[in-house]
Amino acid sequence: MQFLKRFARAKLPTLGLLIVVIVMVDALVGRWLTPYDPMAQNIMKRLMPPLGVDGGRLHLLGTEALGRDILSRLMVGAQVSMLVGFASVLVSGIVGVALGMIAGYDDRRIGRAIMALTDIQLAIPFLVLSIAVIAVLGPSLWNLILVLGLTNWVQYARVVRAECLTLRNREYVQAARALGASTPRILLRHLLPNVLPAVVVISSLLVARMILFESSLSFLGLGVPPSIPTWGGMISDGRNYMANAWWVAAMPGLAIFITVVAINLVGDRLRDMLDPRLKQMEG
Amino acid sequence: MLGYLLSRLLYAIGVVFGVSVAVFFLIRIGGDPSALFLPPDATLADIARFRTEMGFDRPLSAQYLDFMGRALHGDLGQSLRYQEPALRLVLERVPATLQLSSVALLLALLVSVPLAITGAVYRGSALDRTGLVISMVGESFPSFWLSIMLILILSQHFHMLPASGNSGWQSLIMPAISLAAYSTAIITRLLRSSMIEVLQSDYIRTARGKGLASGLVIFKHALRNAAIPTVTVLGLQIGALLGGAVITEQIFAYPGIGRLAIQAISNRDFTVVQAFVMFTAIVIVVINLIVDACYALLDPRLRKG
Amino acid sequence: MRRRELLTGTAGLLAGVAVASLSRPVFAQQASTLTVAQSTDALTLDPAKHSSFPTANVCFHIYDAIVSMDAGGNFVPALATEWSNPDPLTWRFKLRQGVSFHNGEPFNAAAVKFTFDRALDPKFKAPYYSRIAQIKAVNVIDDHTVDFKTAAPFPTMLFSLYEASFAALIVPPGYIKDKGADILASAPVGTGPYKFVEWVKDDHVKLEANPDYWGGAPAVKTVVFRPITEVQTRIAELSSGGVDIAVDIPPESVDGIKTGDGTKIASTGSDFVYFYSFNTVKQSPLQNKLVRQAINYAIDVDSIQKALLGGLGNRIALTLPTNAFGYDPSWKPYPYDPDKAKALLAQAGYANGFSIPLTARQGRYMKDTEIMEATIGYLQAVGITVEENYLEAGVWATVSAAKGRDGICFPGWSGRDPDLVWYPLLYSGQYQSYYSNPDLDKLLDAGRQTLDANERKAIYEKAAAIIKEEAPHVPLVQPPLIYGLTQRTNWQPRTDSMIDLRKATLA
Repeated sequence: MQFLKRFARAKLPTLGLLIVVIVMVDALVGRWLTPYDPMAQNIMKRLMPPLGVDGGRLHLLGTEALGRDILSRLMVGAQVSMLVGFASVLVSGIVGVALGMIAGYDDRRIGRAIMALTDIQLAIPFLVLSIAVIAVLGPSLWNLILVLGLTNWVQYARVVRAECLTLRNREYVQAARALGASTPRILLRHLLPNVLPAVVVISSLLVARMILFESSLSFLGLGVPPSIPTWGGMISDGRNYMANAWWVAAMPGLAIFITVVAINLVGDRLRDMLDPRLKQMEG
Repeated sequence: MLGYLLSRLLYAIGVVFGVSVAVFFLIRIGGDPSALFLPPDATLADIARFRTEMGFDRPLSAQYLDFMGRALHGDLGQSLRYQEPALRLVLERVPATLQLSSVALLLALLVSVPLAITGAVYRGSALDRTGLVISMVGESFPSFWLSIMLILILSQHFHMLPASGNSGWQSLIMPAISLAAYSTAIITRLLRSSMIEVLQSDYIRTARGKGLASGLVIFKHALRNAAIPTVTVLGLQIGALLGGAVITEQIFAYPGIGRLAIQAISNRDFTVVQAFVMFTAIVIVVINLIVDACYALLDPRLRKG
Repeated sequence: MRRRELLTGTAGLLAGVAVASLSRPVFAQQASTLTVAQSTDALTLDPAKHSSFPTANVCFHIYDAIVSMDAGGNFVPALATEWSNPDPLTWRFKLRQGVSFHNGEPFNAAAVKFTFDRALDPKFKAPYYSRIAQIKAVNVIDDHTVDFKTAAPFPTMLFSLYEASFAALIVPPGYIKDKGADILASAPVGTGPYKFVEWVKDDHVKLEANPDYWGGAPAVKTVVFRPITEVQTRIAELSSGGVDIAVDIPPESVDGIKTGDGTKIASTGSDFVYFYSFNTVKQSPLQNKLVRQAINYAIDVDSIQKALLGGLGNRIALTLPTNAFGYDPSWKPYPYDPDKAKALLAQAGYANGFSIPLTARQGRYMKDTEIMEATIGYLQAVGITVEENYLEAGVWATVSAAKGRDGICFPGWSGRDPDLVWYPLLYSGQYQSYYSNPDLDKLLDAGRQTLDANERKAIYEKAAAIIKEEAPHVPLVQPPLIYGLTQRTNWQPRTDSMIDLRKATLA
């Protein structure tokens, strides 16, 4: 509670937090609140502009190429986009933190090998990895999350390793080791709690980027199947209509923009509060 | 110092080797090019014959040994689609990409550094807010969306700039803007907050107290210290620029390596993908080496860490 | 940040962009240069070394084939002036006299023989080998007469010898022997209307008119081919005059280009067909004929064509382009009748519907994804749940090579003869075929064993009846080919999507 109060001292990030909460609530319950069935097609009333009225019913944000209601799809799309954002960050975080802690605690061979792995990972185009995953596991939402997770763990690994390198020589860690604590125990009990603030901050900023990455993958035809509405997929579907039906791509674009700005505002604030040093690590 | 450089070099070779192994197997997991390359009315027998001729039916381990053996002699193989040496295809497109990325990086620095400095010095001013808005907008749009918007507005509507190709400096403007957007945002935010922190530190206050001209203090002392974290990020950003170039080059029909790569990947032109990725790996490793050297120049204390 | 401050910031940003782009327009159209924007660059300029249409379009201006096609889709003389069949296994061509390659080398029967011997050599590994594989030998009769020999009658021979059979473009034997086997890839020499000038990879290929062309010097002096993948970029280049012909314009952009300043649309039907193919080989409800018919009744193809293709293209009754040999205009497609579809499903024992995968690629053909999405909606309405399985192109190819296309499929096909369409798509065991019917097989075999047009027509009429009743496909439409043109450009598109600038002019 106290933390929230401190957070609320900055006005803009508080607005950001509010938006993030609204989007999350929408992601959870939005599917029951939509004005239309987000899947219901009617190609005879396609590309209706915002505020278009059909049969006495209002399409607040217009309709897309197959006549589906854009507002309804945005509301349901929030769920998938948020899921992609948070779940892929979770995957990245688990992989990155685990490898980073091992590399930071053991600075010898394993540690160096892990650091080399981060350089290798950076050099492999995400397209290659993503096609390999899709070829083996098939195209699906969960595999998309896996791809995004596996291409973004490097940042965690580097930051966590740097933290661990300084932490492992602290007295309490040395003491624990002298008392015979096992390595996993030291990592989990003594190091993990201390790297968590950094992890929280990276995560909050990475969620926003993951939502953008998802739209890039959709653009390249490697996103989730088009009937599942995601914000990124909706922009990508709408790009051929930008010249004559701007709202198809602009509405999801706006949704992403507002949400990403809000998440970034929250992330920045968290960074300032939790760990002022961390800004050196961003990439 | 020589020992240090040598160990870094060995490390770099290790990374490039690791990349070559990873990409060799990953791209082959994604399917083989025979059916893609032959016309749709090819028969199954045609496809099988082609696969055997090309050696795609051999065990992956044997294919890898073959590839490695030739790679050690500098031969990265023939492109299937272009029927030309893969390395040549990549290298002949490097200058165009280098041109675009350096213009984008320059643009990012030209916009972000002044914005960050004035923002830090005059915190809360209109300029500071402009900088914040730019950085927030820059990192919150998908880059392909920004690219298409630029084309629609500046080329299609106002006919101000060519929408595609590489013919003179005008054709670099839009791709450079869309490529630089994200980097500009990151550098502005980062440099601004480092500057604010440094400007509040004791030694800057002392310097100012001693009556040194404030311009001198800002440029000589504060910027130098604030630049260290920025250089780190710049190193990572060059990797991001190369990655971002894939989509940007595709949209603006820019003849660089990103466009070659995306087509090679979707056509499973294995040798070209390998040559591209190994080239990128070398660039990233070399840039990391340069970044390390910059650290040493900017802050001698860091040399030990 | 308050709202006003946000506005100040945004204004600053816009001002920055405006300043950065203070440049004079850079689109000086050249009076005698015509620029074509295709989706990809040429891969090579050796006509027999690729399998890509954009590459073929470039090559077709440097080289000629022995026969060509006019805008109406009829075969016309090119490097051959006339042809005949002395017997069912021989095609005899009289060659044009007095033609020479760009390097001065004379064109003759030896050049024709050399071209096909080269491409048919297994060591050469021509990607389009399958298109010419029926040719067993090319024999020189005299300096300007050649015989093409086949093992069995080959009624569609001319489709294998004209320019869209890429390896059939005639290459100069002396030049290749002098300069090496790879020379054409980067320094092409042909008999065509344009000579090669330069190729900046992934940027442009430039050609200049051949004043001595046997068909008369082309009116347009310089031709440039540029690769622009993203369709919005092509349209922007067209509307600013940077290119004169832009390929593959989506239907929703047609009106904008028609009414645009200095731009127009050129459109024609294509030799292409959109259809769904059912996997009837694997255990599934699709093995039941009633289910296949029901799906045909369930999809409102006319509305799809109207809404998604802007009403362009032709509705097809069977999987065959309307301009193909043997297509009978009296054939009728299954009408849209969802009630009938439900009744048939109930009769087949699927009153509560079923669930079936859709295996396809996304963004491969114009509007394909939207058409499939719309189809999913129609099938949902009669109780059939579709599981989308969109595959990346390379994965699709690998799955296809293993004959693993499950459920309903959107493959896309082209060809102007039933033997080029139904044989590969419906004959038992063929690579692209997921259907088997011995009666149909017999007819398809018979259709390729005679050169007699009337006899063939009768055979395919019988095959058509079986295909209609058995419904192994859902025929959709023959999509349009849509090109954006600058006002000054006079040029006729062709149904086979080959771009031919021989008769093009610039106003």
